[in-house]
Amino acid sequence: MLFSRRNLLLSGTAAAGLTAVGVPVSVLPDAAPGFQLLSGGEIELVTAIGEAFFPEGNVFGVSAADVDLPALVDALMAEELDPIVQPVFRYLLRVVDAGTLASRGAGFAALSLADRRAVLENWSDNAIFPRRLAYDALKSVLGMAFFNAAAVTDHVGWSPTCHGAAS
Amino acid sequence: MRGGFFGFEGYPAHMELEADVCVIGSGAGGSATAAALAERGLRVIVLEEGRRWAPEQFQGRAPWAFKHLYAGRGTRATRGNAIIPLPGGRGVGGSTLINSAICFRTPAPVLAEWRGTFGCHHLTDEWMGGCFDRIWRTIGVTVNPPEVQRNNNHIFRQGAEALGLDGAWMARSAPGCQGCGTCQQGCSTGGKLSVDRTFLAEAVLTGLVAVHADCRVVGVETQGDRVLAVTGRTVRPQDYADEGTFRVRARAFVSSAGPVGSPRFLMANGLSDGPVGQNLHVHPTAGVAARFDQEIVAWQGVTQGYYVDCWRDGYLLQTFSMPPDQYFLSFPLVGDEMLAFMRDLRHYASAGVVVHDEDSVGAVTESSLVYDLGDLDRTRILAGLRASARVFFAAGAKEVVPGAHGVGIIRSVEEIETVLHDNIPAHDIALYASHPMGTCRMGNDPARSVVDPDGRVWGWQNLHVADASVFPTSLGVNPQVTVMALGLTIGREVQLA
Repeated sequence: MLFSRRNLLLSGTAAAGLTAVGVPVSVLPDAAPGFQLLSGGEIELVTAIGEAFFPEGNVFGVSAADVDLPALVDALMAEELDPIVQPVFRYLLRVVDAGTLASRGAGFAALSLADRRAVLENWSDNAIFPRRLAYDALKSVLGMAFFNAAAVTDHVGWSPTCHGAAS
Repeated sequence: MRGGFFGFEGYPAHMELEADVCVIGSGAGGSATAAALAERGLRVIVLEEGRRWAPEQFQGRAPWAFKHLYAGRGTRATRGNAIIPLPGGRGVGGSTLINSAICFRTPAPVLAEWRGTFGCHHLTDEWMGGCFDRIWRTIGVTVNPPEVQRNNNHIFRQGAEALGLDGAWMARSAPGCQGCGTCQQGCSTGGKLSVDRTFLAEAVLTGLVAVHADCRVVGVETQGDRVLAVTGRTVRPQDYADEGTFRVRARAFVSSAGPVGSPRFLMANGLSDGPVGQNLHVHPTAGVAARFDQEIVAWQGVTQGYYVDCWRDGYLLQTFSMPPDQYFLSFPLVGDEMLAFMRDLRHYASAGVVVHDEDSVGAVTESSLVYDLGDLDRTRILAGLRASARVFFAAGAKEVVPGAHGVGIIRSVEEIETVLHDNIPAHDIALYASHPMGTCRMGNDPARSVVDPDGRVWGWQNLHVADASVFPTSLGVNPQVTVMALGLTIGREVQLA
């Protein structure tokens, strides 16, 4: 399946809905030093989400921390994905962080690793369709960034060059 | 007008061009149409929004390919009772840059229906047979040898043969295939013969055809029932932003912008009163991945090499492979199960079902793509997933991961029916589709069709459509050969004003 802008746009709709019920969505801040797009707060959120997807010591064998996932997400967003998804994704990060305030009493980034993983797992198979779309959008962006990192493709044994009959 | 390939770097701030025929789009339809027009001795300008690429420029990574070779940077999708990614190609060569080069002749029952129900009288078996022969020669259709197919295709073949199914290697327009497994990111070895390197290259050699890349058509100038010119913007390759302007005058125009682009071109410019954009079919697909004890390394070998013919049941089973990031995105496992899947990815083979969609309802509008998966088509997908799982277990798979949310992993052949039951709703199936068609339907009734049997837009003397959007119905097999055949047909019939 290709990365879907529709997922992100619908997640943006969910973001708008949450905004309407009181979740604060502010003007997007400037990029942090050394980043093209992500602000300091967004880097913290991507780090927290990335750690939940790819925690240290996971069964796959490479973690988000091993590849500096926020930098990869920043480069992917700024350089390769459709510019229309940039603001939607950044708003989605805010919604993710605010989305656990009521249910777990803290923003997503402040939750324990176990709680963050449980939240994502719940969203992945949730009867509330926008939540699953939000999960799919996060998985799309972070997954594409992670699984194109050299350390990860080397670990899998894939390279973007020809892997043909002679290899 | 001089023939050749042209790109942004040589364009002035404004271009005025003139030809006998202007073709909008350079994919399978536009390229075959241009070739047919050149054979008539007509001067042709082909306009293409995307870039012209050489094989050695392709980089193999999915994000790079999405940005440069896919419409909407790979983000195009339908909405409805499920969300379905609907990729399409962008660049000289269109979707043939990013397809798996699979070649099927148009099924005879489909052609019979198009003639009998829709009045497509040009599409006789004899004429189409001649088109297929020519296409086979031009794009080098062949079956790749077993040593290039590699494990992902061999293991599925092994299972299909164990079950006595009607399977075969797929014919492909990739005579020089080295089994890189990167068809959908652009063929970097040139082993795949996309139409920019076949039909279009041959047409340019006549000296009658000029292909202008980096040109996005926006508007039209008309007088009465004739189109006089198209206008648009040149596209800066660095960031794909609009830069200069152009205007192309011609005696006839052919829209080959694809089943999304062509209806939108007609709608945006008020060029059709018919059911333009309606009748969207997409061949919805879904897949399974199967774990074996031995390494499969699915991305080594032909991307899609083997199929099982269940056409009479409304679907085909076809092998497929992808880069690792796309496996991660496509299979809806979560947490440690997903990470274990990725850890063991070298041991997984993958295949899926391509459905001949018949009761789904879809449309292209000016701003969105809508598609509601019908119940018949949904059950066909589930039947195809079950059949794929059975094939893999017959080949010795230890477990099968279905492309469906919340159903878990199938660990024995006995579990298939209960896990992949017929009540799984559309939005829980991990759907995908890459064969849009039907949105400028061809027919002999102006109330039910957008173009007449010559491919001419009803109400216009000199405006035609030649791409998969003219299919009157869903096709049921991979469409590039049928698109080319219709391009050759409509290119023969184009009327000059």
